[in-house]
Amino acid sequence: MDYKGQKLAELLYTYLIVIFGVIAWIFGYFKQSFKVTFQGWLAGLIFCMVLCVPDWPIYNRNPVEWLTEIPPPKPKPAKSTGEEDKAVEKDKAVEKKKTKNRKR
Amino acid sequence: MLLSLESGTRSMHTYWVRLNAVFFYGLNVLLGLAVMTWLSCLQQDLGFGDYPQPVIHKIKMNDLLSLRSHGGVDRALLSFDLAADLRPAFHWNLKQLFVFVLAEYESESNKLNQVILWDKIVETEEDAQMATDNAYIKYALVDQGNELRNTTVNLYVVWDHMPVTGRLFMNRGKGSPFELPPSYR
Repeated sequence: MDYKGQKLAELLYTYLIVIFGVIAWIFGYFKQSFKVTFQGWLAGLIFCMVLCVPDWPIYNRNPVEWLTEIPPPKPKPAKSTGEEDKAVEKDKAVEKKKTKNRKR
Repeated sequence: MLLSLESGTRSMHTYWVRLNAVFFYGLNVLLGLAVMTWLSCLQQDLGFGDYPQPVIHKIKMNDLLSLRSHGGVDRALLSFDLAADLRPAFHWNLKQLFVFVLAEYESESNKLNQVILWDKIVETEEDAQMATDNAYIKYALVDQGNELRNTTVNLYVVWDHMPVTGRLFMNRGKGSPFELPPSYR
């Protein structure tokens, strides 16, 4: 539900419950029964709960406009990876062998 | 469809907020309706204008069955006549009337003693018209001490308005005095 939808929902139930209640009161007064008034009020309340609580599509007609996405910063230069380390070690090993051979 | 689903999961808490708002706003409206109902009957309750008012035609002690000392305290058993028309008390904001017969007397120890002798819950307008002769009391007239002999007791019919909404209040008819005998019998 967007902001205008929230405002609309609030407006709807604020007026509808009162209108239902007043009509129910008038009916109750002429029937001389408070039960009639109470039932009318309850009907109004339940109607407004169905109307204003779920996120109906009419409350989503003015979606919030978000800013366009800011591009992420450029990645830093790549560090040495495991592959490279292994290669270096291999080179060192080869060099050691060579020196050994020379000593002999 | 996808969009509404997504916004639904993102703002899940607003369902509870709105449900709470609608329900408690509704309760406030109900309070307003209740106050309006109370106001609509106020004139009749207070007896302004030419509204008919409840009438007690008769309340009278009929027969004294006994006046005895019962474990140190005085106790009287009696019967009474009652004729009343409480229908004018009824309107759409009245749930029921609690009607009772009250004995009031002054004794040496207490300035005012009040004892309920009989009661009835009147729920419908038809029942509000009452006429009984020689009805026996439900609850004995028991004194705090032993000072019932030679006392003047006033009998009243009191009716308690119990409304659907609004304040509770009582009305009473005219008292009807009778003398208790000077000795036990």
